[in-house]
Amino acid sequence: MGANMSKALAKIFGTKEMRILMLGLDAAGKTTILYKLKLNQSVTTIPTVGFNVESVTYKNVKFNVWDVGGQDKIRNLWRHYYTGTQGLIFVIDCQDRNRIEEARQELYRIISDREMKDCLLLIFANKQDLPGSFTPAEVTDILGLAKLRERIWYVHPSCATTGDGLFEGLNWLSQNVKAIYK
Amino acid sequence: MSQSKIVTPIASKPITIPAELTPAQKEAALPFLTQEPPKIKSSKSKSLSRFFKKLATKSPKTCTKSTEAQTQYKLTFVPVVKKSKTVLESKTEVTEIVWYNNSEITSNAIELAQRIWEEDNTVYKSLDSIVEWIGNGKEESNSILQSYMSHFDFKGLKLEQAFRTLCSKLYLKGETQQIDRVLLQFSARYYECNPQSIFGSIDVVHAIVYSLLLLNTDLHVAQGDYKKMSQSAFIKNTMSAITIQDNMLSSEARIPLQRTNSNTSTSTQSSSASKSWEIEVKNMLKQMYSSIRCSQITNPSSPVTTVCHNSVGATFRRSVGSIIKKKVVRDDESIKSVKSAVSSIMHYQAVASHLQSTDLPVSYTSNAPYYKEGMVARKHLLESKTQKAKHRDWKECFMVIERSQLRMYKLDTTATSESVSLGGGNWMAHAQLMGAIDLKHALASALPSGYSRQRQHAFTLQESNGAVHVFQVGSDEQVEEWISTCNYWAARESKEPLIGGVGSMEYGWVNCLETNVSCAMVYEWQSPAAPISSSMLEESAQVQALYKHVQDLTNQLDQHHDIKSKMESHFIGSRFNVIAMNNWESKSLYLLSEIIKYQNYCNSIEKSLALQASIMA
Repeated sequence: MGANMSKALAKIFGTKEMRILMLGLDAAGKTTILYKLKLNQSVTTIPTVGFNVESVTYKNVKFNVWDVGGQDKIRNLWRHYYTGTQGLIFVIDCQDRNRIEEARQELYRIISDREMKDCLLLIFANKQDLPGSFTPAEVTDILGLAKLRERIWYVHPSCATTGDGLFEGLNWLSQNVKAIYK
Repeated sequence: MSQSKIVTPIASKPITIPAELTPAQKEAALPFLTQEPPKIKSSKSKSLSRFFKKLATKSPKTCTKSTEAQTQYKLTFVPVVKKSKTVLESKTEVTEIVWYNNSEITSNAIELAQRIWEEDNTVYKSLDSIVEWIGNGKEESNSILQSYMSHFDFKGLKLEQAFRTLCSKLYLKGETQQIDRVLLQFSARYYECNPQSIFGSIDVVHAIVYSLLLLNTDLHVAQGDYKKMSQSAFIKNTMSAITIQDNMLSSEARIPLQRTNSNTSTSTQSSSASKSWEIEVKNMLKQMYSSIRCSQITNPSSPVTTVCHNSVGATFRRSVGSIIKKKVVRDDESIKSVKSAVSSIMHYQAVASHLQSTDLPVSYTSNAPYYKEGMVARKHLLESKTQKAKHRDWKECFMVIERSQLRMYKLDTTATSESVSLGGGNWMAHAQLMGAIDLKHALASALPSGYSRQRQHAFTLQESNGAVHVFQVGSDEQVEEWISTCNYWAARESKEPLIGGVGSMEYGWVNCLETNVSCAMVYEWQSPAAPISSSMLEESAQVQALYKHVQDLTNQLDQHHDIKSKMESHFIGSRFNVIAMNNWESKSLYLLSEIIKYQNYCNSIEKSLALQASIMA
């Protein structure tokens, strides 16, 4: 009953939902981002074992964020979730200059999937607070984003530990989700 | 961490059979001892050390002081190991595990794994941080993980049961990659304990167990309005992943698969065999699906709850009224605010700690621009930049500014149950929170000639999202006090945005001006969201940061004005002319209003600093 009511209310107040996949090398800051996004919102400590999945409501949009990842071999398992995904958040550790190439390959592996053709791509150029980190413009160059035709992307500077830039990034996703389904 | 201190020379030490072992155990251990000279460090000796470690784990109490490794092993071997089953199992370990050892297991790792297994909380921060550590992919952690897994006995268990066993012991919490490493090592251990299982390879086990965890997440963790994974989707998804494992395996041909071994004679035979194998696996997956749907996999020591949607309940605890007001305030939050407001005397003193002169007298910190409370009449004018508020009637309320939170209370109503229990004679006992406004990135400004003839002394407050409120107070002095307090705290706690974002969307000035190619699409420009995190800077540092941001914005505005003529000539006759020029206008307005806002913030803090200087002089 509650579920039906909430759906009805969602209709009245215009609450939207977006499914977001989040990807990035480990230690890029994904967990911190999820944790920071959840801040100030009711955290239900779920005893259930599972991957990191969080729902964050921001400006009438409910973002259901899935932390996708793992070895190449099991990547196929996540394909179930590619369909119907409106946004991909890719997190880059801007200070880890050694692994940025690895990150680039990881990114292209997922966005080259047919099911992910239309989804918005938000890249968090994370760890901007650390000295010597790549700027968003440098990240754009290294990842070769300019060559991505037909794809709407944005490289957003962020600092997950303080939460800077995170909601601004989500805001970009919610503003532009209309652009792809117009 | 004290890892460096731990010296456990089990692998390199000469090993003798303790006299206390039973003859059966001696016999079982003998082949290993005679096969390999103990001093040689090889995979066998590793397995050997593991074997002894295994015996050690069965002891009820092991010594935790690792520095006395020598005596420790004497101690640990004293208790009699009862089952010869463990010995047999270790034998299979010796033959099977070797090829999967891609990292040298050091005695140090074995020791640490042992202590994690025994839940010795001196080696890790908390139970739920273990996976983060042993799953971080570093070589040493891999060894610990591998050694830790070897403590589990999965022999004869179904895969799902084995996985539940793991989850009931180890708190599976961490990044997906970290969890995945644990799953892979779990799969290796499971396969090692059950080499005759239908799965045929570690990678197939890995794919299935990963899929199981994904299913558990899908059915029991994830929230949101989406279709839960169906049984057929689960099977299809898992089978496609298994097929990939198989293809990879056969090309690498690292492990002989028993099922391909058994039927290599003719292709038809093997294809029919793989068909029946597939059916068998599918049946197994079906069972797993219904089992997980009925009973979720839970973390250790958490009570197994029946399937119920807690999240929905939580949302519905909000009163409908507060949803309508749009300023959604959760019950617990309002309780908190009541509590905090009760202690407002304490608050005056606390304010001083945020100021340059930390010993400013309370007579100042309890007044504008640091603190302000009083009766006002308010009207919610705009919901956002373009949308009028639904309820635009004037309402009387008692308003309080505490740092960057502005709260409005209704005073004359019958008290709610919560505030009665908390109030205790305070005005809060009869106060009900009507709404709260975050002052960060908001700007208050006076209406010099009043709102109307009836409402002479008024000011407006514009929130970061464009919402506008009008407040009417008793006098112009009051107006000044409210404004200075609002803007002071907005100035103190607003954090300037990170700059430098790069995007692909064309608004009329992104790429097209440089390349001089007509654009395929021009999107509507929208102003970025204001940061929501608070600034933690001290007063003087904050004002510096704000000045710098004003300078950045001014530069941006200059550049923006420079491109106008270029844009005009570029878009002349283009179908995007209107939208591009509108975009230019919106951004120009946005930059200008931001400059005004930040300049006001700078002035507010400067005033406060001057005030403090004059008082303390």
